[in-house]
Amino acid sequence: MRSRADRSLMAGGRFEKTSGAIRRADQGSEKTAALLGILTCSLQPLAYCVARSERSGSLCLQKMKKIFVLVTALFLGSVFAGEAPLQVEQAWIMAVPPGSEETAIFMTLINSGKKPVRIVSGSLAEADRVTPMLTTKEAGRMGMKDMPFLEVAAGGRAVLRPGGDHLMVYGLKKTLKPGSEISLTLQLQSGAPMVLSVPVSRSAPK
Amino acid sequence: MTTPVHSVKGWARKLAFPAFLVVLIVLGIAGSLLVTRDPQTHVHGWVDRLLWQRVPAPDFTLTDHNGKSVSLSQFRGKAVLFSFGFTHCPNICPATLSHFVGIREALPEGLRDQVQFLFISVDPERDTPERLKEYVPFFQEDFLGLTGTDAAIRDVVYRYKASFLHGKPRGGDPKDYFVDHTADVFLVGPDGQWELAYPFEELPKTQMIADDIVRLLPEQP
Repeated sequence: MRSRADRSLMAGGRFEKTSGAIRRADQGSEKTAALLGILTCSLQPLAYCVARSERSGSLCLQKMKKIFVLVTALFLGSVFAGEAPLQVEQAWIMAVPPGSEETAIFMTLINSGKKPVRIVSGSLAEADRVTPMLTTKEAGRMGMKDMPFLEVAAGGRAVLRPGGDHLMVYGLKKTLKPGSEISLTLQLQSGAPMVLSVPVSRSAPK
Repeated sequence: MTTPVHSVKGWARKLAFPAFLVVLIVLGIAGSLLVTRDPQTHVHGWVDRLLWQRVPAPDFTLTDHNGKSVSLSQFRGKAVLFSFGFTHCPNICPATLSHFVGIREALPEGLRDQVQFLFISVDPERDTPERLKEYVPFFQEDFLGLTGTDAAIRDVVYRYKASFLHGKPRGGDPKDYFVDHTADVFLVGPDGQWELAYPFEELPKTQMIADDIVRLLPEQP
């Protein structure tokens, strides 16, 4: 299934688009799952304290109730209030051998906003420039094509992975060590640049 | 003094069991999510391939990254897995080589020296043996990078029904160009038969490819 998606990605040169409805459902279940997780985490000490309070009085219980309310409020606040339009997940930059001046950055971009988001370029201190790159497949040959921007559809996601589209890094000035991190700034067509900490890895982090 | 403690106790009894139930339900949901997301299925047989009939692998002689002349036929007795690429390749080639590392690691330890991994450059102008020596062993020490004359490289590519295309120099620098190339990976058995060609997209199935290779190797005592 994954490889089919890869192929269509390469053939069409477009990023995967999920329909709004599906995405909302996805997001809803993610939120519910996270909410349940938080509830469990905070309920457990609460239940423990309730059981313990038979011996130690209700001080602990009151504390825990406070913590519970606080954690839940914080969580709900973060989920429903401050949504960034573009989220980046699992970003990594490929470690390449000494002497290599090119490498690639991969990530999953999730646009939870109502407008498409375009990444026009990137920058990192260790290289000359970073540009969006399309992976092509023509007559059995795989190749690359510069793109003026990388668009993540409204409510959609773009998956950048080895063998597919990526952010190409030119003019690497030093060998990046696996396990270290670089600071990547993504320039969007509109809006503030995003600064990400990106781990250096030989292959996709598990 | 006694009353509040008593009431807490009663409250505790009432709450503890529902709380326990909630924990169980949440764990159940989490568990079922995990199970449905990672189905354990078993595939029998070979990984997707482009070849339907085994044929004698066309031999080739190229220069390895130590500057030595190397022929495919020298590896008779070993399985050989090879790909085409170039070292200025930021994406496909490092991805392929790191899948090679994964395939090697998925092989039983005792069989790893019975498999030779090769990386054949389709950019001999920039990929000198020195450059390949810097590049290929970075992924795994016993991987071998091969290069040769333009004619020799073209010959290998033709014989394996592959292709490559040098792009136009970018930004006025004649040494700055991309090379489009076949990204399929070729598997030659220990008897010198060309067995399979894996589409690039199948390379993440490292364990299955390792199983394919093991099946080609002579049975272990």
